[in-house]
Amino acid sequence: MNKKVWVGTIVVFLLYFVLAFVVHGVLLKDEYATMSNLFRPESEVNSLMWIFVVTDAFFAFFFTLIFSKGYENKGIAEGVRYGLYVGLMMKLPAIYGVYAVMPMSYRLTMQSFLYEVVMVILCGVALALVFKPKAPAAA
Amino acid sequence: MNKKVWVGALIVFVLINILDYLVHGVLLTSSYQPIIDSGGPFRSAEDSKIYIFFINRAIQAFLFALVFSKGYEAKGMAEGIRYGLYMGVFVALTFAYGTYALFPLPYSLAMMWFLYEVVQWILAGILIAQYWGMKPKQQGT
Repeated sequence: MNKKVWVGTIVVFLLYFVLAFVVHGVLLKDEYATMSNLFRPESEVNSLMWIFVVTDAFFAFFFTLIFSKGYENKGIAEGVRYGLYVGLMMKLPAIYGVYAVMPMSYRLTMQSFLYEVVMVILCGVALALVFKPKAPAAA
Repeated sequence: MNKKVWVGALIVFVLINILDYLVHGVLLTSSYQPIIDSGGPFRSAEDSKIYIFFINRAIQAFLFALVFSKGYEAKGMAEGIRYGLYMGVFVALTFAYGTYALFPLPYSLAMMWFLYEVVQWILAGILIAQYWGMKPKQQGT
């Protein structure tokens, strides 16, 4: 397996982790607070936070591996397109699927979905930059 | 866009919906019932928005076929299994374990969601690989 796959995995993992903190821990914090009766208590969610670390690590690895298989060196647009496809594929069932069966507010659902898709698109852009071949050194 | 992507998406959509019915409507019914009976975090039957699942699955089926078409290597069933496994892990991890981490649901349900979802996408991968590998019919003789 190509060294770039491992570098890409680490970059995606760190980027996604930071973005998830900003989105869910800062931007949507007040929205979550209005629906706290639906969720696990905060202390319980914090004790299960390792699940997000593990799932983010798996996501980062597979996201990078699949990108490496189909890489076409088409620049940032390739990363945006790939991030959009995977973002929709992953986040539709995780967010709208949950909304369909649990009494979440539509506002929180839509915001989570849009932020998460943008997060995955940014990860795709990061991969496009990681995989970009180095320009040959000038003579 | 290639006609095969649309037909492949349709095949995957039909398969995944049949499997959804088997998994969530038959196999997991006994796991859902105690959660519903204990006032768990599910919508009531009248309030459920099941149509969203069909829209989700239609978009997923299309993207599944589209991404497969971009990286198709003609490696047969093994390619379909591998592709289905990767995509299944993608979809199932955040859906099953992310939901478990946030909502008060039993671990056994999250694990079954994960395993069944991955198997569903592996089967979809096998089917789409078989379909892509089919030779087009000869025109005339």
